[in-house]
Amino acid sequence: MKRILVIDNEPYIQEVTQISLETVAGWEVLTAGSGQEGLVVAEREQPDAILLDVMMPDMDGPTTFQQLQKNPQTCQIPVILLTAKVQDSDRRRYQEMGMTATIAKPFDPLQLANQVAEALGW
Amino acid sequence: MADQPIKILLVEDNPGDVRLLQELLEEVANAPFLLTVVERLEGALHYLAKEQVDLILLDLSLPDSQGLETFTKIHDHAVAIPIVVLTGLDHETLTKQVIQAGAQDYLVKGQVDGPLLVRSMRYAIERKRTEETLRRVNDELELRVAERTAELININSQLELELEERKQIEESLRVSQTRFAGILEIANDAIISVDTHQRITLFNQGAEKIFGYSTQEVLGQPLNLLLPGRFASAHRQHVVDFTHTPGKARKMGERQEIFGRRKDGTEFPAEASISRLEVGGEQVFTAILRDISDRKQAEEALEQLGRQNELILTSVGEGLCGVDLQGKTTFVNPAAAKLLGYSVEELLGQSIEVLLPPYKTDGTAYDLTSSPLYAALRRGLIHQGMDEIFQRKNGSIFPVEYICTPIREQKEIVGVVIAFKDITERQMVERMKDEFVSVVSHELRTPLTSIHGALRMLASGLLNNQPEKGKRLLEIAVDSTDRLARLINDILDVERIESGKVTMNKKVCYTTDLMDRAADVMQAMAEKGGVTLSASAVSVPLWVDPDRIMQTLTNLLSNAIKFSPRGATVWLKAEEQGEHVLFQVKDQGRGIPQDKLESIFERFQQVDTSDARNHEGTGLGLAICRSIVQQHDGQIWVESTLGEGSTFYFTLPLARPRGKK
Repeated sequence: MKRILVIDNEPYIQEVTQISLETVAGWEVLTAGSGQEGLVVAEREQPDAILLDVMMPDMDGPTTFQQLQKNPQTCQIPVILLTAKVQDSDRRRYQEMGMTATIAKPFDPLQLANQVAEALGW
Repeated sequence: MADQPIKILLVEDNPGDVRLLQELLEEVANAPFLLTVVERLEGALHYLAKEQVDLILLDLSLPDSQGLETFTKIHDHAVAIPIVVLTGLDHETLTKQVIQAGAQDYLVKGQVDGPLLVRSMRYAIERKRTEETLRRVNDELELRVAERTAELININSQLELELEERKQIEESLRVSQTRFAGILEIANDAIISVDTHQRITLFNQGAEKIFGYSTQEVLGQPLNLLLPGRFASAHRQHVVDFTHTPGKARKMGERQEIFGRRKDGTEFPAEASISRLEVGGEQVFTAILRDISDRKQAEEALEQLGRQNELILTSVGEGLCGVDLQGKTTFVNPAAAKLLGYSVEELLGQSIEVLLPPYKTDGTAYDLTSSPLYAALRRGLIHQGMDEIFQRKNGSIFPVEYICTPIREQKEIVGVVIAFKDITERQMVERMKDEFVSVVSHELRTPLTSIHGALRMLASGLLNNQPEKGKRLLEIAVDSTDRLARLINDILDVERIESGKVTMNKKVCYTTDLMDRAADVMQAMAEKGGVTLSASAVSVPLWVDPDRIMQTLTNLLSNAIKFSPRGATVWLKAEEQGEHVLFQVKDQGRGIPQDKLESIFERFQQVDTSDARNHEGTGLGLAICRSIVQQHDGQIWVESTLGEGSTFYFTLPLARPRGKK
């Protein structure tokens, strides 16, 4: 069973994402309410993939990603960015940074698991 | 004469009569006579042609001539010689004719004696002599008369000549006068003459037009009629002074403006010159006066325009620089100098290069010749720079927007005017606006994402067997919907209050009423959070919108309760301070970092954005509070110590006794 870490400062979105992935794909979902918390959970839990929100206070998605990359314990974990900004330029920038995929918000909770699996080649 | 014999020519053909006469003459012995006798007229004439005689005794009946004819022929040949005619008794008519023709006397033959003859002859000679003298005198007189007449004729013709000349002079005078009168009348200027008593003696049509009087109205009137009262005496003095100055004409009002007064009483500025003429020993002053109201007005308008332009140039917020073809500044307004950090004097004459930064925003060197300013100078194109940067005196740069307009004189480009403004603030506002829009859209999208996600899951039926999860998703959807609604309300609220679109419905309210109601509303929340709510206030009348103040108080209380740990107390106080009432909402919460004390009143600027999610806030509450307080001319601020708590303060105006703010 796949283990996914959802990093999002919005508790409700976190919760909906969790229920969606658990129900649709049957994955185990871990959650973190901030980038900082996400770094800790990622290192400790070693999830199969990370769903990372872009817009977060204190530490935003790209910064969190860079931190994850810096840490040898987390740098190999694929990261999918959840972002409201879906412009091509942003998408390209994130890919250049090394992120696996970008999924647009608001997402369809019934499709999300498929989108993630597809992006990761699962 | 007594010594000389009297020579007598006797013309007589009758020897008896000759003898008789000789005898008679001899009777008068003492009388010396020399008597010559001829018988015929021809002989008499012949004799008279050669000889001098003193008297002729003439018988009219001669062999070769008869009657009056005899006399006239003799008389014609000897006009100066007295003739005494010898006639017969019956010749009365002939005698009269002969006397009338010029004979001195006549003697009737047969009735003559010696003495009578002598007396007659002497008388005849005397008479002739007298006649001759008379005749000579008469001739002389006639000569004189003729001379005098000639003289008179001469004088007369001279007079006629003079008269003719005079007529011509008069004619040319009349023409000249007509011409002068014509000039007087067509002149637009007022031409006014006054005598030494300052009475108007001439008033032309121009004067009629300017002053509004007819000539008849003013002739003989004092000049003061045409002058404003305050100038009358001064003017009179001027004329008196002028009387004593040597010049013949001078300009008036060179030093001070002169004014005229129209018939309707209005005054007008004028320009005048005055001249003096001596006419018949009396001085006449003639003033030529021009109404310069229009010119004055034009001058004033021009001056005003100049001042306006100057004012516009100096007061306009935009920087203005005039630049010549060499790229040197020719004028600089104060705004330009200020924006660029120079004084106006420092900037004048400087090359325009001083405003251009050495580098472009992208870091590449600024190529002056490729600057659009240069292009405008060279090609005369209007250039609008939307995203350029200028350099200040101190080397710092700032973003500008400018418009560069060529100055043309007679179609030649002589330079450009650069009007520019510092757009730092505008760019900041634009950035803030962009950020705000971005934040708002994120804030709105967040609950929407939750709602959408929860409802999709529920609708799919996937959770039919997991009622707990389903219920949880429903709760999320409902909460998020509430939040979305609150957000939308708050966003609209803050927008409308800030823009002044919501009018504060102000009335007199008492501090205690407002605070009691707010405490009542928040009591439930306080109890739920285990927080004690303590309110104390003096009852003071306020001039406020009670609903909006309630909104402010509940907002602040709600924040205070939210951030208070269980068991803590939230204090609500109000006290009078001068013209205001000071409200305080004090909590024992975690406090606010020093650097956030100001920004928390901005929209979506919670200390920690996660606060909004955790505490159901929209991030707009304090922004709304601030807007409401500001709309009441109050102030709002916060004091805080981390770990100890925060106190929010705001002031509101007291209700004035008259009940108006």
